[in-house]
Amino acid sequence: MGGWQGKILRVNLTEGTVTPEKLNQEWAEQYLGQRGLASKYLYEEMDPSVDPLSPENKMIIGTGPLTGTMASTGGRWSVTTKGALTNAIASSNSGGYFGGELKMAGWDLIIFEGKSPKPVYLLIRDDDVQLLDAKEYWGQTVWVTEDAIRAKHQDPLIRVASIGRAGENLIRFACIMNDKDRAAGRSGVGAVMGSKNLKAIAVRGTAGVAVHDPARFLKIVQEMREKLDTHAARNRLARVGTHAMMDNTNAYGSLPTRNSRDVQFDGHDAVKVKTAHTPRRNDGNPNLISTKACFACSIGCGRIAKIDPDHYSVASEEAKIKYGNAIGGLEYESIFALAPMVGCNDLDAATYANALCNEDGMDPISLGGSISAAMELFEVGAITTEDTGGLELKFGNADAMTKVTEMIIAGEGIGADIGLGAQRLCEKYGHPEFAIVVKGQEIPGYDTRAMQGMGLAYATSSRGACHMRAAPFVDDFTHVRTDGKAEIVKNTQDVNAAKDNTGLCAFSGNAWDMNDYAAQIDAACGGGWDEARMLEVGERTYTLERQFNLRAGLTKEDDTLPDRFLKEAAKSGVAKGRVTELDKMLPEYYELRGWTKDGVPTNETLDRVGI
Amino acid sequence: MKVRVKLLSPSGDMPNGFDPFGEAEMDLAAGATVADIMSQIDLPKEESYTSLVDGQPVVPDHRAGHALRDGDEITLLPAIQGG
Repeated sequence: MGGWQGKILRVNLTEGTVTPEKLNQEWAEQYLGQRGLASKYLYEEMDPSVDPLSPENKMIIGTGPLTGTMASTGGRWSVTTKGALTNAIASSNSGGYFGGELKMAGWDLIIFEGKSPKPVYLLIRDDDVQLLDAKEYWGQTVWVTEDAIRAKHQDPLIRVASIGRAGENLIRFACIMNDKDRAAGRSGVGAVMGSKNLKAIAVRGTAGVAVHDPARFLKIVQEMREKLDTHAARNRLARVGTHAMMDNTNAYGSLPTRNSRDVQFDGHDAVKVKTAHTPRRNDGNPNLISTKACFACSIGCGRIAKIDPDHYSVASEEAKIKYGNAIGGLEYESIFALAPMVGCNDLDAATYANALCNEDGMDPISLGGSISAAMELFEVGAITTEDTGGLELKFGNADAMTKVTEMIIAGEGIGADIGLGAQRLCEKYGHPEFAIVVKGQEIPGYDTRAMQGMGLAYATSSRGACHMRAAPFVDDFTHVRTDGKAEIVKNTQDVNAAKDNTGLCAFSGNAWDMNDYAAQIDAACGGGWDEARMLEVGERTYTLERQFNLRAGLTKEDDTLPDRFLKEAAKSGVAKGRVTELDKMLPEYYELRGWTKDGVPTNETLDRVGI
Repeated sequence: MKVRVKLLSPSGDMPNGFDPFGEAEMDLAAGATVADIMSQIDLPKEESYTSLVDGQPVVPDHRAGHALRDGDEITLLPAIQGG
């Protein structure tokens, strides 16, 4: 056996016990790893109807068979649980170096159960695993916690995944952060970790990862690296990162702007990728100063930024030290959410708010979508300056955007309400229609009136609005239509689920097809993996997630979009005058999936996919 | 006739004739189409591109039949994946 380590850790936080177990190899063959395998454990072991913030919720850290190997981009790991934001299954995927380290310590999964009576962290050094008191780290940021744990154990190579104050304060869109600025970002997995009084997981691994056929594995990963490294998309990601997407969505008319009231942003020039690369007049430096890559990655889409030293966000001496030097830079999703979505044309304010998200563990997509909802509530008078403590929380007010971000982290004033997420916030203030969410999760950076396939992808995503569960980009950027989208969304959901189970990054999919993934899995794991088997794993994973959500109480009624997309026509762009025609796509999607008209997998479908 | 071409999110160096910001003015014979322009620019073969003329999409099947007019602005963008 290769790829898998064959071992999992079960950590009972209530009892304070740590128990190694054998990996269920039958399940590993059915679901590979990460998202799929962890979902299988969750589905079999837990009642999906539990409160996500209760001790009964489980949280599973997962690696894939290729995590920690030399396969290009093989550093991915994920967190699977019931989402605090969504009440649906959550599986949040992160990069950095933590996942590879965990795998090299010898573990495929960690299952966290219960709730610790006091703050703790888990320290893993290969087979030596201990739950330790985290009193000294509780209340500290991610950045402080990572450095302090490394210093305490006198090992600079320890990798840490932790929550900041956002997770401790149970902010519904809190992340789990690793390596300072990488995040298992979506659906509130950080709040689940906080609810368990688990501050951090620190790991040092020296065992390595064995593969089934080393010679074949070496040959195939070298071929795949060559294929990836020479691809145009890899070149673009390395050069300008994902930020370049904003030029596309703005030109096309699919850039969510001012809480999706608009689809193109008049302040685009101030926050576009070219501006981030252009030296400033006052200090001669651009916003983006360098790039970075995760474990084993040959793409390097990560950004390193430096805020303008004259910007208000770094005016104080303390802020200058914390945020005025090289910090994690903006990706497309963070710049869309912290600029157009909130109507702000201030690149450095967005960089600062993004740094706060990294420092204290919050999802910038949901942060932007929650603040934009608050801004719309403010503009109609549902929230007043009395509620905000005097802040003029209007679209375009960057100063207010960053101040309210600080308040959310601290759980202060209006920040405590915005930290509930857009849906709970808008319900509380009497305007649920302002929540631009699906299954409670704020939308990423694609307006669905111009990108109809993405509309169907959001509506049917197992974890709420998401741009990574399906990939209808090519057809959406070519045709504003509904024909054919159901098949594209269904097929790419299965493809993406299969990829998410491998331990590789989704961005490798720009260059690799499913045969390429299968060849690497087969060389690592053995057992005869091909394209068809990989796609079976993908469909099985997606169907299992559906089953979890149905048992959690979700129904067809949750497979929908905000009224704004369904009833309010786009004001400009390629879809001017159009709404998202979900009703034309959803029935066909259910049929292709083998689900009833109510969105329930039939017994024949469950038999066919092996559930 | 003269048209303005904007190339968004290029994957590498700008093609010949484009300024560093991805813009070019092109002199075309009367009757030139969107397909003619796209064939003149060295775009990566492994990616598909969206074409807009004055902000409106021209789908691939219509590119060869879409005659351009003097002063048109053509925007070309790769159908890239987000993240």
